Amino acid sequence: MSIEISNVSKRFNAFKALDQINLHINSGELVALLGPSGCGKTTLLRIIAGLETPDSGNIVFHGEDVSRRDVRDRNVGFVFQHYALFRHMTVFDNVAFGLRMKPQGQRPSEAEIDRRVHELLGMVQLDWLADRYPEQLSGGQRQRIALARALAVQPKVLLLDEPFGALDAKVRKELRRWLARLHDEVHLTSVFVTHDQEEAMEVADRIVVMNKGVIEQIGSPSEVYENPASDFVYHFLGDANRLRVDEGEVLFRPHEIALSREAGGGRHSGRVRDIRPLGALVRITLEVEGQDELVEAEVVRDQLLADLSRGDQLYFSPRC
Amino acid sequence: MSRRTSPVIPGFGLTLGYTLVYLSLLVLIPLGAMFVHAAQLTWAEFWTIISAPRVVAALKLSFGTAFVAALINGLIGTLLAWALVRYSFPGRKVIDAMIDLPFALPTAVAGIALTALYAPNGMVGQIAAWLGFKIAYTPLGITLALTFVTLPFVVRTIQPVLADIPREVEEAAACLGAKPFQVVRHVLLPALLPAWLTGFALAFARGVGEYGSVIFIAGNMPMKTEILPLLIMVKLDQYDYHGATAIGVLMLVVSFILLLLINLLQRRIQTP
Repeated sequence: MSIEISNVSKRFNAFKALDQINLHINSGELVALLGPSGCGKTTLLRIIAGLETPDSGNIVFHGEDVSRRDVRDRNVGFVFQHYALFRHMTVFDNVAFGLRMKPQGQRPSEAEIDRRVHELLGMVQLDWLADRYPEQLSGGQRQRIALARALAVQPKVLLLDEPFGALDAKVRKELRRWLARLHDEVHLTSVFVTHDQEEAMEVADRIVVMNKGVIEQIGSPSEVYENPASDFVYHFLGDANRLRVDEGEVLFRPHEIALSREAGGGRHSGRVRDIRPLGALVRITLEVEGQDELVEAEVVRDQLLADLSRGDQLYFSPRC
Repeated sequence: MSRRTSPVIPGFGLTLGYTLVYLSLLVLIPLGAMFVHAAQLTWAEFWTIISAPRVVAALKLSFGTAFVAALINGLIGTLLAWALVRYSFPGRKVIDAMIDLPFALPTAVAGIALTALYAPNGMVGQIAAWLGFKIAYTPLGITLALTFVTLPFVVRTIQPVLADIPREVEEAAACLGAKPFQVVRHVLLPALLPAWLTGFALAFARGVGEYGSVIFIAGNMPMKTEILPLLIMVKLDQYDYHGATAIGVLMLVVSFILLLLINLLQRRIQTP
């Protein structure tokens, strides 16, 4: 199901959380709302869900205006950052909750509920935890249960608020790959909020970069990375170097650099301040005359670096 | 027992010993003495005392009014705790602090103030009289006094538990299609129930033993508005120590059984 967001604005007292947001999300797409904290991404997600009402503008699901519709009737699955599981219920009862709350006529039989819940728990690979309580689960397990619970009511849209934010780095990586795979299988229109550009890059079909209540850029991960629409996007999507030159300044990423021992060819000079091995790459920090900002270079290990030490003079040129 | 992690409070032996001594001096020895004193009675004598119509009437009145007062506070206290935790409004801190006042106020003062208000010639009592019923000097008045005295229990036990339930949990339930009453019935109440029962039990136990505030508003008519603790005082005034201890034992046993039942109920509904 497609989602059309048009002219959505929202204020919290004097604070402008969202300013004239327009966004189209295609059916079956996995979209990331990416931005620093306070940029309005969570507010936008909550407005799509119906947990927050916009001051102006419309939300249209598949041609149907749902702006005035209550969260109960929007048929969205929402996964909260801190899971929001019902702690007095077992994992099974948590997942079954949405089905059991349906009005008499639409409610499946207990046998059917049992089948569906076990199917969902199987899908999130946690069927063996059905009788446990949320307190007895790890963070990653809780998040998968929260996802299963949201999917139980067969929502048309899946919304995830910083779904991996509260997890440690390793679990986060596993879980976001798992989510991307899951999305490939079920193809549910999904929107997730994150402040982690790596996460957005790795999981999303399209990234919506937000800042201060407005959308800075919408595009595929490679589009926003390679053709950033603004300085903000450029800086937010990865480390950046700023080099002052006569006519102004040049922005380039740490890997977009050529290093040499020889001067000439328009190369700038810098003094090596630090050398850090980063697995396949080495990060060299350079002090450049005439500016306080350091320049970082991430390059493949090679002969040049073999006998490099701090204090050496190097010559570099940005390649962009 | 593993010794690898040492607890913050030193030594199991020391803490247990301290607990037992403390409990004995303050609770077990006085109560035991009462049982010893009551044991001088034969079963027949004991039964005659506690089955006297005046005692039975007082028993019903004491436990009945305490139960109703605890129920009322169970309802009002929950609402109060809800308002204090979930909404911010001007004067919230002041109201929050006022909740504990019934504990600080001498109960006699509360009783006299309530009587002045609710007696047939008092401010509220006049309205009640005009409508054709009495508040002070009836079981209704006793319930009122007990409601006043036991108000803090339910509020204070529910408050922290309620504050601990994130709003997101309600939102999650709403996203799953639960209507407001379903959210309350299936999400909030089950989470609050153990704490609610604790508050209820505390309010009930306190209500059963309450003396100071009740005697002013009750009117203390035998068979009608005479509570058990007062009956004990009456017996003591008449130097009927056996009668007084017999009633004391009766109150203790009934209270203990009821509190035990509430505790068992609580254990059943508590999730691990």
